[in-house]
Amino acid sequence: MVAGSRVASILIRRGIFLTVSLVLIVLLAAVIMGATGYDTKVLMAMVEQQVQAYRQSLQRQGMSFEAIEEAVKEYRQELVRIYQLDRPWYERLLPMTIRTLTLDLNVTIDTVADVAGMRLPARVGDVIFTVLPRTIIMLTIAEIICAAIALPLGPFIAYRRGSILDRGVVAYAAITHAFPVWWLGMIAIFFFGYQLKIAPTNYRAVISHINSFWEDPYTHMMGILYYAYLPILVVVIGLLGGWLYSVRAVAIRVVSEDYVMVARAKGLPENLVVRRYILRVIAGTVMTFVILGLAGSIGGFIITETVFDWPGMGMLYYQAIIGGDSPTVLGLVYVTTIVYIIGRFILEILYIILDPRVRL
Amino acid sequence: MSVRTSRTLEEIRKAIASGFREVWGQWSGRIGFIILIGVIAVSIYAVLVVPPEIIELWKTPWEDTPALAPPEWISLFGYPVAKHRIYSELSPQETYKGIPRLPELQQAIGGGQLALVGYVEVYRVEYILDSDAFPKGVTVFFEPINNSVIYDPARKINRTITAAALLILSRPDGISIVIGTAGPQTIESIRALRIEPKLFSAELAKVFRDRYGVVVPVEKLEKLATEYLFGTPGPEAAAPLKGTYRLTLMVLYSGARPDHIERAIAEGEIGFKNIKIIVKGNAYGWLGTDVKGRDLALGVLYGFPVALLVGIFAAVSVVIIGLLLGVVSGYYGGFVDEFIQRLVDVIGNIPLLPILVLIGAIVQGMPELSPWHKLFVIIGFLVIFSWGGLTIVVRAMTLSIKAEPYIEAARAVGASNARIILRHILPQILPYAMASLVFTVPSAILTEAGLSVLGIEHGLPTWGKILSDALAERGVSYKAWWWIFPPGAFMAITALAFVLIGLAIETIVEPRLRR
Repeated sequence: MVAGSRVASILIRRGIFLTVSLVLIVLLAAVIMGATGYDTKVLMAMVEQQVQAYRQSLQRQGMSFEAIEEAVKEYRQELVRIYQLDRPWYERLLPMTIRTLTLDLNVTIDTVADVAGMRLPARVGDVIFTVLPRTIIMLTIAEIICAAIALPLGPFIAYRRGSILDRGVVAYAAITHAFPVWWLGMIAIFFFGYQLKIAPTNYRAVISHINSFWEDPYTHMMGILYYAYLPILVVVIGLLGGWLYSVRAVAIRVVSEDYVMVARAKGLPENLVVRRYILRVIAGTVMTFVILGLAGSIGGFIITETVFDWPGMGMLYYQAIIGGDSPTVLGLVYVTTIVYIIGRFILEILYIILDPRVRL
Repeated sequence: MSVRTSRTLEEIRKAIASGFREVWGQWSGRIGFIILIGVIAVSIYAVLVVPPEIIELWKTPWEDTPALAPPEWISLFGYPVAKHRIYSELSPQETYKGIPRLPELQQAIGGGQLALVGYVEVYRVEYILDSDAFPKGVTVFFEPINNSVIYDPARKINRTITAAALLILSRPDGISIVIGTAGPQTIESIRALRIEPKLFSAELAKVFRDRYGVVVPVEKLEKLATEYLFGTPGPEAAAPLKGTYRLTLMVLYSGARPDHIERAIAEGEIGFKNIKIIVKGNAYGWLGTDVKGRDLALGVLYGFPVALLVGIFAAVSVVIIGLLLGVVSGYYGGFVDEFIQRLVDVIGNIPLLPILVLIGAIVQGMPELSPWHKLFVIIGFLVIFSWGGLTIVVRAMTLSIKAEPYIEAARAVGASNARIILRHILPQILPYAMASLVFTVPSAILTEAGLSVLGIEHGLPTWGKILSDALAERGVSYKAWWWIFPPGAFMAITALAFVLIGLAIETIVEPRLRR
């Protein structure tokens, strides 16, 4: 009972802290965009654009010059009021943050909506949840593959440290740590797409397969595979080294513990030693890698997605930032941070389950 | 005092020497150091060789070089290469007053049109085509003296001199043809002469029919002008015609009496400071060119010192901040500790790359900042969001060291906090900080390159910028391996040097990783 309330209090405290930092991060992003004038500049440009369009439509109606000027002036003032440009940025900050937290925002730039294959007006939430599956198909799956390979293999390598396999893995990790995944992507597109012509060179077409997936799951599954196999392969090759190295490093610390030595000396089969004496001890740390890796993949790899022209979360981020669509940027910061923070919270719970000391 | 200082320095020197020896003793450390020395050497070479105006140079398309040409050394692998030739600082082989009776000129245009010419300079160069490839074009650049007016003493008035230029190509098979003209204009406005297919296509088609009995449609000849100029016409396409080509450039002056023009030119009053004839090869330099004709070797070379600077600046800053805050947090504890740790939590939760892209986008839109300023603002923010991890580890180490009895002893003897931190705690953390420093360098280099690839412009030609240009020209660049491979490969090799050294240091500071 005591232990139970202790666990509950730990979880509640962590939960509160994580929620607070979520709000802080969204606020910070809003401050950065507001204080630097990024936000204002973009909004002003939009107002001018709409005013221009309005002026032209009035001119087509054949109104007199003075009447047009008068109407345009009023229209501009109205727009400035709507976008709250008549107030300093810090007064816009709080309403903006609250609207972000409730996802009550609209996309303002058409290139951003275009990533999701939508047209303005579009809601930020809708756009984000349209592109999210595409990122999951490419990056989250790649992370899962990495984890599935590294978790069993890492302790196995640690068990045989110094062997050729071990050295090979370390060298492989070092090399892939130095080669950015996005450049591997460029190389892969060059070879497989343009030279060997066994992979697509334009990846945008994957959208149609994902959007109409349920009409004919088998065909579209194959279509998605055709587009996704190279990106997934590249990301796995690029990240697997880091995965193996980290899991190995964690396992090595355990392998040299006395009780593992005893277990080996007793003649227990290797599988059993790895499973019971090593994997279980490192489970907490390894789960951290897995959960944070998966959570991180949701935000998309901005550069890798750009290289593959893959219309996922990273691409959305990029278009939103470059285009100056602050509602979408805030929405993305919010959603990716939420996923990350949920991951952290799940970890807190896992630690309690996996590590009995916390419960004492 | 001085004795103690020198002793400390001696200790530091010894520590560094033994640290280096340990790192060198491992295969990864040794390979890392060797690569690093190479990278540093190339960086120094780059600083010495690359012209300081490179930033401006990189913004404009290059006219002297062929666009999208592979490196020249591919000829070693059997790829036919038509050489790139620049004929500069030319002086006229012949000069004439009136219309010269040159066979090429007669054949090329026939007389008549040039009746008003007063003075003629003739420049001749030879181009040898010795492999089965076509040059990519011929261009002449003029650098005129900024004056077109000379004084006529006989009639006591100023006269404006106009000039015209024509370029005649004489092929190994005896065909001569005017391939481009410039002017007539005032001298100072004559800048360049390029191949004009419309000028010769009909004529060339006729000559080909008479000489080779092959009918080439005029439109096709216009489209593939350079290839037909340097080739024999086949039924489908042209085949390279090997041999010696002669290029004759005639510069025709008029507007005053020939001897007046001659004297004015001799005295440097009018005329051209430099005339440059360029036969563009189908390959160029050590690393080829991009779609704007920019010499990639220059950009890649410039990338070395910039990358080193970015990586080392970022890493040193991150380590100093992380070390300082970590030790303070662990040693003093209490409110300071709580504050720093919560700060780490918040910063650690921020998605780094999006924030950097956002900052980059903001910085990019500030024309008042110089490229270096922009770069360092971006790197500065990279530093601001990167010190968290190191601080956590340093704090934990400080906590455990602080609990050791010898720290208590030192305090009992009356040592100040500063002395305890500097003499007893920092030296133990330093090796770990070194490992962290070395690992931060490649991340900073790769992050900066990644931002450039996304199109965040600070204006410097870096590896990332070259790759970014390649991505922007997707359809073209993926056919040009020399544009995609070298920048990324050099970036990866530089990063690899630090990763390898870092691995070696890590093995030393984390004894459990040692075998």
